[in-house]
Amino acid sequence: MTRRTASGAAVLAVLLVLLLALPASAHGEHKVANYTLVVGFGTEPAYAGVTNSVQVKISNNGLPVTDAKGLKVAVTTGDAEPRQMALEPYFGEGFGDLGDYRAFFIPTAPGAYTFKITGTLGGTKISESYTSGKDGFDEVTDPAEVQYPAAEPTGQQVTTRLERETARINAALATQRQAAEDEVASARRMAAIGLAVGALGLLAAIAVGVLALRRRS
Amino acid sequence: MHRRHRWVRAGSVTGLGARRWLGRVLLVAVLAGVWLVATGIPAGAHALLRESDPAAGASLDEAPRRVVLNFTERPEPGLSTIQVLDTGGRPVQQGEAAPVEGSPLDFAVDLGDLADGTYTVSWRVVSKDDGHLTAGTFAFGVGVAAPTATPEAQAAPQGETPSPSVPATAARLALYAGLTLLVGAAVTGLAVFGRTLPSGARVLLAVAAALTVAGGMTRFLAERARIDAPLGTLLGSSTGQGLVRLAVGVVVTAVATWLLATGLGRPGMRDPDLTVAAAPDREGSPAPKGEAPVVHTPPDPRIDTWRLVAVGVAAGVTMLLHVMVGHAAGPSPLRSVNLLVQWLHLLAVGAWIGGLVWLLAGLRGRDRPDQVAAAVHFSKLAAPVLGLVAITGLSRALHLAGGWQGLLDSSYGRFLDVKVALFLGLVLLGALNRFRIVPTLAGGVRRLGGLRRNVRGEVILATCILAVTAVLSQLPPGKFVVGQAAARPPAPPSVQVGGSDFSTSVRIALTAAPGAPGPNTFTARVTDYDSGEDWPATRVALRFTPRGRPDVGTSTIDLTRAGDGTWRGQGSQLSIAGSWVVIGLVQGSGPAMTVPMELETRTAPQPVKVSQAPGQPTLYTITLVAGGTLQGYVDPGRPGPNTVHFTFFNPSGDEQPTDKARATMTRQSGAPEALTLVRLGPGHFAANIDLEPGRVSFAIDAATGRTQRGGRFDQLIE
Repeated sequence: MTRRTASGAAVLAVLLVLLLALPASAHGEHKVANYTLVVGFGTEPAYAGVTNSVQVKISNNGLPVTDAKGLKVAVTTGDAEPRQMALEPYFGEGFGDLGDYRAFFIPTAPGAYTFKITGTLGGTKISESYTSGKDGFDEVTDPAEVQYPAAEPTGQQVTTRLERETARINAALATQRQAAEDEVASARRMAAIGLAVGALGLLAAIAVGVLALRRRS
Repeated sequence: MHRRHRWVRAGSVTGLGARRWLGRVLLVAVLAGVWLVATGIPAGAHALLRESDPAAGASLDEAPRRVVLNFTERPEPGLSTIQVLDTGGRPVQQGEAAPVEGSPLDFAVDLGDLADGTYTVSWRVVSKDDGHLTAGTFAFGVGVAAPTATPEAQAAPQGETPSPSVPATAARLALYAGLTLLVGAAVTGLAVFGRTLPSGARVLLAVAAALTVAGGMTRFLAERARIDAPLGTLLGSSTGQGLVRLAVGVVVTAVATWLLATGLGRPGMRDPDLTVAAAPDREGSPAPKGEAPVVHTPPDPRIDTWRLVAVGVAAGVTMLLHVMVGHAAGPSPLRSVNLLVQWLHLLAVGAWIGGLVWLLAGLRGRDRPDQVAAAVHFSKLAAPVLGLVAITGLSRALHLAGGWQGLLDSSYGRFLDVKVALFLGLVLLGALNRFRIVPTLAGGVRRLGGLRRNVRGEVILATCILAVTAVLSQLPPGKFVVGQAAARPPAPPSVQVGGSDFSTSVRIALTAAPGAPGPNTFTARVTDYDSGEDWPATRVALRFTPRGRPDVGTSTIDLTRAGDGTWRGQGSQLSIAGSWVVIGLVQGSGPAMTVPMELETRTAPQPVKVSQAPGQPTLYTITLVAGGTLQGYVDPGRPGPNTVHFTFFNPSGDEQPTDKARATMTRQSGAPEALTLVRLGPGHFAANIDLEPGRVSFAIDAATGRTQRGGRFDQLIE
């Protein structure tokens, strides 16, 4: 083996190692007309409560598409209302990768997300939906899985917890209020009965007194 | 003519009444039948499997030496079998199954050396006590995960037997009817009719004898067909001998009946034709003048007492022989009492119901004073006999029914309900006779139409009761069915964990079955945190991450809705033993929620092979999950100073170098004690110990690099 061959092999090996050492990117590659769309989260793994983006890399016959305009993406999860966003180029002079389009948002809940991409590409109208998990990109996970040393709930979790606790407190207060009102009503009834009995007693005493006076007279 | 007219009228009234009664009784019988059919008559069993060793669905570390089945009644050795089959369907049992000495309810079969795998135990048992057949199947595993038991299999009773067959039911009904008639003949002949029997007694006796013989013989044939054993084998068994004894009793009873019938050589005093011939004209007209009245001096109509007694005793003893191959003969500390009570019950039924038939026979013909006298006598006799029937019947019902649950849930209980309802109807009619009709007749009224109608109704109801009893006696007693339901095989092993989300909205109760590393079925129940009601989820997924194993990735399984708020899925996410973080993801209305849980896999059973050689310590070879084996032995394995050895081998059989190890010893009912290990080789460790008689468990955990190995074995020191 010549020195040149050995050097070439070493460089190739280093490149290969570097290539393999790149962070794994779980994206789904899809063919739409003559275009290739690579769809996923801009940052993966995606965690709830952390800024992220819908990432769509567009290419045509291996060449990045840089002139896509008017593309939109509707993001949905669960039964929440879809959120419409514009896919904007995420590249420029000395910045980013050509053909990389993004729509930034913060996924607040873990689970499966669906990206519905609509618009026109080179005169071809597209309307494609891709869902995390089954279409090649990861779902959004709960950050508590990787938080260290203590897991902190997301704002959405805290909000829901507050709503649940508020509802419980309100229910407990309502129960207590009802009990207090019942007690007040009961006390009022007893007072009314007491007054009535007292009045009757008074009337009886007066009657007895009158009768006694009459007998004497 | 007038007389004829009166007879026709009386006959029409009687016919109408009988038809009305018959219609009502048929209606009751049809309703009862519909109820029984609607609620189903599941095939039951008598010698029911109570428990087994190995248990159904068990997963054993060590191959058992034999299979022991425990039944509710004693199995008949010659007619009962246990087969243990491997997965190829080959029998692996050695020799014939036999009762365990000193435990008559246990039935066992020896096994050869079993390799690791799943084995099926198929048993077929004839009860030594009541001769009924039961059969069932269950499986256990040796060195493998327990065979999965489906909920359906768990719900099925341990042992099935065919539903009562028509020939067997007809045989029992015929036998009951025949014996009842003969006991009734003896009792009424002696106590009601004054050592006579009504006219037509010969025919009735012939019918009774024919029913008895046909019933006894058909029962033998039906039992033989059901047990499906060679005649010689059947006759050699105690069940067959019981049936033979019953057949002998039947023949003796038939002979006694023939003797009684021959003793009826003269017409009975209740023969209306004879009475007419000897008495003046019913209209009171004198005999024609100039003709001397033809006076037939009736011969003595009385029967020899011994003939009646012989029939009664023969039929009674045959009833006892029948009782001895029935439910009452089942194992119980009160077996003798049960037999006596059941026998008294049958005798009392014979005296009452059989007596009713004879009374009805005696009431035939024109109304006569002697019929009233017979009715009065029978009424006096019936009251205590009815009490005896009720007391003995109640006693047997309380013993066999299995409480309210048995009365409602078992086919035995449902038939018993019908029998009791029919019996109450019979009691009602009996009370009508006793307190209304008979006192009226005794008071001088001489019209017997009402009495005949009532007695006819009683006889029809009694026949229905006998038919129900014929089925009832072939069903497993309710108490066994209830007990069996309570002793269903245990649920398959599993691991249960639970948790709730941070926002306290939902709870998840997760079950992983079998919970050991490998394929599992995951069942998650998702409920509202506060109300516990099913949560309206649209998607439930589980995400598995092994704790402390960053080299093993995370995996997710989507569960599918299984109804009733449960979600189910199957997968091999629990791929290695140890602790796992499981995140349950619940999506539905509103934001998705995550429920963190921690799951520890169940320790998979380790296959242990035991090798014994004379003069050598017992050697335990344990196949390790991580690969290779662990050999352990205690030298010398007797009370006193000992040395316990542990040696790890790799799959190629060479000693496995091991970095570090730690071992414990647990004496019977004691806490684990740490052992001071001495390294004797790259993978060989030993510790000096002092042992006392009893079972001792040894366990060792060792590490080689990142690979953990460990095993345990038990030894009995004696």
